[in-house]
Amino acid sequence: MKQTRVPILHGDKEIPLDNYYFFRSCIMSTLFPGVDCSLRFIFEKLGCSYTEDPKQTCCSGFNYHADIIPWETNVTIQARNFSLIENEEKNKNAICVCPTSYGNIKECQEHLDHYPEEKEKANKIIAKFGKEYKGEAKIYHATEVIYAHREKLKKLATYSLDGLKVATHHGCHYTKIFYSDVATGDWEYPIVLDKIVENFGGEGLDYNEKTLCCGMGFRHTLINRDYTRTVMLRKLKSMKATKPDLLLVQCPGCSLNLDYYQKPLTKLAGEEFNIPVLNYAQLTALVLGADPVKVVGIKTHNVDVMPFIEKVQKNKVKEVAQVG
Amino acid sequence: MGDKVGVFICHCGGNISKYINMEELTKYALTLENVPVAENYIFMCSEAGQDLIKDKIAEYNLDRVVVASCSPKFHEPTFRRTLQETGLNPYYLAMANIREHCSFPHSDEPDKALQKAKDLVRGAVARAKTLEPIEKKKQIMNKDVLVVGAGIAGIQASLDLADAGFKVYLVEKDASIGGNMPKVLKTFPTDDCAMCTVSPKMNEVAAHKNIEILSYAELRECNGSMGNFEVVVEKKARLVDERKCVGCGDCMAKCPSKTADDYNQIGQRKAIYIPFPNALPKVATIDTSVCLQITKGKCGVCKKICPADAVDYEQKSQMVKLNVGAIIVATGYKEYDPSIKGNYGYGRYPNIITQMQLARMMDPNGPTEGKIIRPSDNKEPKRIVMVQCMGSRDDKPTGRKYCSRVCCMIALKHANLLKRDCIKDSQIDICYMDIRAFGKGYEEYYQRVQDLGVRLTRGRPGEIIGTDDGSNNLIVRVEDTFTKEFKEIESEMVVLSCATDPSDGTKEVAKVLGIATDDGGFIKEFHPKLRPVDTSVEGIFVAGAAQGPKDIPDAVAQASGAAARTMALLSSDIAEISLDKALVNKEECKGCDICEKTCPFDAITMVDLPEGRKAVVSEALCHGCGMCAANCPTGAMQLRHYKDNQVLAEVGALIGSH
Ligand SMILES: Cc1cc2nc3c(=O)[nH]c(=O)nc-3n(C[C@H](O)[C@H](O)[C@H](O)COP(=O)(O)OP(=O)(O)OC[C@H]3O[C@@H](n4cnc5c(N)ncnc54)[C@H](O)[C@@H]3O)c2cc1C
Repeated sequence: MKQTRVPILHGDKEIPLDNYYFFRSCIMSTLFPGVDCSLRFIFEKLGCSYTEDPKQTCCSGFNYHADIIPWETNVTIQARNFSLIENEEKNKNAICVCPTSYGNIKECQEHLDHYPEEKEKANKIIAKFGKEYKGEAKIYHATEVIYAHREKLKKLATYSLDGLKVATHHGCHYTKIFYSDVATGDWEYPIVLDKIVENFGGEGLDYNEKTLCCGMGFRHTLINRDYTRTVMLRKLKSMKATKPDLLLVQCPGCSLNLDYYQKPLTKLAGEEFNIPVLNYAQLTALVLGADPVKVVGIKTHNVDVMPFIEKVQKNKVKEVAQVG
Repeated sequence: MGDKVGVFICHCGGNISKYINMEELTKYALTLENVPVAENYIFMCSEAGQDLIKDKIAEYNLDRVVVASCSPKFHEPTFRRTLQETGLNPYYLAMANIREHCSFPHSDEPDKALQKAKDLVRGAVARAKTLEPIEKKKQIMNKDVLVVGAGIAGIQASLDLADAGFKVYLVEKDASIGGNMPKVLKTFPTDDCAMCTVSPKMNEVAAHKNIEILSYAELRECNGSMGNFEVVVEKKARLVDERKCVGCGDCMAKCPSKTADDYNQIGQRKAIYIPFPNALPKVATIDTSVCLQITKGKCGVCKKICPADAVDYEQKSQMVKLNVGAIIVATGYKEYDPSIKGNYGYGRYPNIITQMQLARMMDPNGPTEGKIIRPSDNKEPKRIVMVQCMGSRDDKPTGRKYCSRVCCMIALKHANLLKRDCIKDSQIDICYMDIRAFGKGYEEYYQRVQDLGVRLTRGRPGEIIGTDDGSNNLIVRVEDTFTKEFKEIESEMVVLSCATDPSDGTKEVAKVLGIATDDGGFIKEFHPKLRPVDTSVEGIFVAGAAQGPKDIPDAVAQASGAAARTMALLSSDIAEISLDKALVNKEECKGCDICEKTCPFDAITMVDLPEGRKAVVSEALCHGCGMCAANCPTGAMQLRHYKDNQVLAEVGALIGSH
């Protein structure tokens, strides 16, 4: 199988360049379906084989982090999901769209692999519907995969991000849980999204509150609204000071928060933000020439993304291939 | 084959006897075959204990000895000497470690500990019987010494040795000797001028008839062993003739090419440079990576301007061969690179600097002529925050687990100097985890600094970020762990007290010399308490911050210690090298060269002999580590003191019946 190595904290890790099991995300697929379409678009452009499995269930990570479902349930759900991945003929590399899925299912996997008795317990339950987790699933985050393909993607690009300033925001469940595994190294100041931007010729901005939480905080967004909103406000204000053309995010939760609440926050902030938000897959697809509406799915966004897209479309590097 | 083995069991003053029944163990030893005598005693390593061993050797005509006590690392040399004094070969000794391997870890299970002690003694007796005599090789002792690294530690060690009449070669990697001490401006706890203290010492070294300085030079090779090391030192090409250059500095003034100043760590220097005014030797050096004549082939300004005609673009580096009897490693430390931890903003925000950079700013002869200025706007900062434990005492993968020892005092010293001399109306905050003011006069210093109104916040900052108002100010986010409050301290400049890393040169030298390093990469001492300046190789000693973070008083004390150990070694005219090393059985060697590849000391070479390709071990280079023997597929390679039959005898007895 083709793979490449990307730098992490100590040395590097191997990222497969093909054969993906598309591990979908609950929030992303419902609120920002353009992300799924964008990933499909990218995989097809790259000529990668991938599986979209209707039998995969939500990883339930949000519920777990919001203290709604117990850990045992979470682990068992994952044992079932892993058994699906293992049963794939060749597309055995789980690619999580969402950092919470990534952190959550990796944690479940470690738990199952580390405690044989827990694995047995979970396997007993999923055996009722004919499933078994053996311990072979491999888990990656889609950002790493895009980063690993960067050279080829650059060649495939229709537009460049030349002259455009992008503020990035990384997902905590990607950077903080398995911190030694974060692509490009420093988990305290992650820059893998900035690397993706730079690869397409754009500038990743260094704004002061870059590592601050997006303001969701899982259970806190449910029970501690005022606090989470103040955090978000601080984040947006600091970002706005550097005048970004785009906010690039990694996580569905952050997308939801930072896109949906910009307008409601205007009153509290006493200022407008108007920073368009895209996810890494959407930006990549856009640069590769995907249709902004049909593929990138900008109609489901709250802050208008069109002004940014117009700027991108001025930077044509290649004839646009007709895609639909 | 030994057939009279005496067993001597040590109480270790209770460390062993409190947990293991000594009488039972002694009785058991007497039941073993070929053991005519077994004794126990409170301190076998004491003179009385050793006399007991000697008496029993004579009384029973013993031909092998087992001592069951602590780790052989402590007292194997002691007991070998005891044997030697009775005329027995010192290698007729086997040790059973019933302390670190038994009484310490099994202190809660005395019955099982006794059983294990019996097993260990039985194994040692079985091995003892198979031990063979090993001789020592005698060589004339070379009395010259190589000191690597000319910081304060290397300088002190060189002076001690030279004053005692030994010839010293002092090798320094940089353009000037001195190391880090000349950079620190003033030294705690007395605040006396660092340069005024170290500069006379530098001059003394340069003038001493017994010391030869090889500056801008690096150790490349080392062969041989204690008493007779052969080393190769590369004298790098300065492109300036050291004998002609008068250090006038005209070339520096006119040189058109600039680069980052690696000595001051702030500002720039020229491609041709003298690192600091008191540099020694005070001669210019050309940095070939930025010199236009070298990189582009056109310029030649320095050559034209030099009144002494000292510039020589064609100069080549030279390999110098030296023979010495002992080596002292004093290659020092460097500051941890704080940009590794992105959340502290070093390298991204201009107004975050390190303590060393601040020290250089304070120096009237430094890059800012003693003015404290913010890199962003050259203005004097009034609010300064210092962040302690930057990268130290940190078990995250990017941190260093150990304490860097000096940074608490450095921060206090700098806070003191800022408040008293540099910016009297400044507000200084220090965020710390613990203040470790451990040395003589340090606690008193700490008290005085608090009286000056320096604010101390107990807590390790989580991050440092900029403000959005374009002022280039910074916000330090920290939890005050006394009040349990989150604080955001705004400041105009932040100073990081970085962890101490071994210098790059320390790591290189360790490799060339084949000496062991610890987890942090510092040179490992042979024994942390009893042999703190010896390294893993006989005849090679360590001094100063190369062995671990330390302040100047400790570095100097250790340097004198290393010099004294070196003198003790060199006081003998004969170097005795024990031959407990690897040995090849030529008949069984198939010439596969696995041993050659595994040897960490390059002690094995493959030679084509009439009877075929065979491995040959150099006695001088072999450390007796056993890697080759463990990897040899035919058993041809044997370690003389751990031959297969000896190890197997011990293992067989260990797993055999009780
Ligand atoms: C900001 C700051 C302030 C300080 N203030 C004080 C203070 O006030 N009081 C105090 O007691 N301590 C202070 N210290 C600590 C002090 O600097 C050290 O204790 C001292 O410098 C250690 O001396 P050293 O000779 O062991 O190492 P170093 O000074 O590091 O010298 C090592 C030398 O070896 C050379 N070298 C390295 N590798 C090689 C090689 N392979 N071959 C040849 N040469 C090599 C280096 O170039 C260097 O010249 C301070 C430290 C810092 C960072």
